[in-house]
Amino acid sequence: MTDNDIKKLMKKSLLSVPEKDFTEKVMERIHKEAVDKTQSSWDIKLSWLCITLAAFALPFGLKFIFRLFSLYDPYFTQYLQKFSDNIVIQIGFVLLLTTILLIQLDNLLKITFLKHKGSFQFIR
Amino acid sequence: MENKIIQKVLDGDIDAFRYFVDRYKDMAFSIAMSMSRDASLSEEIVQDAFLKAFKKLSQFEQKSKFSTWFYTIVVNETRTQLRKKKLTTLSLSAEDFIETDITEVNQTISGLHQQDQKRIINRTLGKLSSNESLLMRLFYLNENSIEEIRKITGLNVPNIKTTLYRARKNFYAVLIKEMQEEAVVLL
Repeated sequence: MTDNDIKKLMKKSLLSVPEKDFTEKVMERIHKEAVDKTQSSWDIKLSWLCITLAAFALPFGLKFIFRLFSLYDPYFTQYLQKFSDNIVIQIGFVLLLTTILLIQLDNLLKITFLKHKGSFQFIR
Repeated sequence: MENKIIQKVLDGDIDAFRYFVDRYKDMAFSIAMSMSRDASLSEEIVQDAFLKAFKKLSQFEQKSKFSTWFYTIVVNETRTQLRKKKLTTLSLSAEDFIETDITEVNQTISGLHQQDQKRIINRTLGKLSSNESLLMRLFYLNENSIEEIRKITGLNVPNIKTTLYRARKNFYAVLIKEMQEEAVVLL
């Protein structure tokens, strides 16, 4: 039996996918994947916006909230004053906020990097 | 032509990817079957491979044919799935079979109905080791070159040549046995 004979025989060995609507199933999964990717891409952009806003607006936001509380409760400022005079609490508070912000930033960087590695070009 | 379709998909025309699914699903299924011997698992593998190919399409550098790149994904996906399910495949050697006149077998098989020929050949391939069956399909059915097979399977060239030689030998031997069994059933 020559190579040609084997080739002739082997040409008959192509198997067909048993599932009739195989192509439809695959395309359905692909469409779902594309929608999920677009959604997650949008979510990541929104997260970046939020984290940037949070980083810049946090000091102003806190001041605004304290002012708002003071309007309704005059004792609030006095109560807060006790805490704000304590340097340990102040540093602790700043450290806590910075840590939270850095953890979120790290997570977001990881997700963004992962996304770019396997992203489609058409998702902008 | 395929490059244009790839560009269309990358530009957002997801439905253009249907061309690749229709064109390569059967060969991909044959490859997965060569390695797993399980139709439902192979179907699952091929689906996952298409999804992976779609996700990574932007990484396809178009240095090789799309089919070569895609079949590499199929082979890797099959290996991963087999590892996950801890499945192994049968490995036979030519010594297990009796040598008979191949010309006679060739004539007999040619006289069979096309569906029966296909069934016997696939049963024969199913009895070879997964690597032998895979290489036979890639080399003779899909007519891939040794270099393309190297890219798809990750095997080195001497290994491919040795396995192909052994596969041919085993293929004859198992085919003869299958034909003899078929003749007994018919009688």
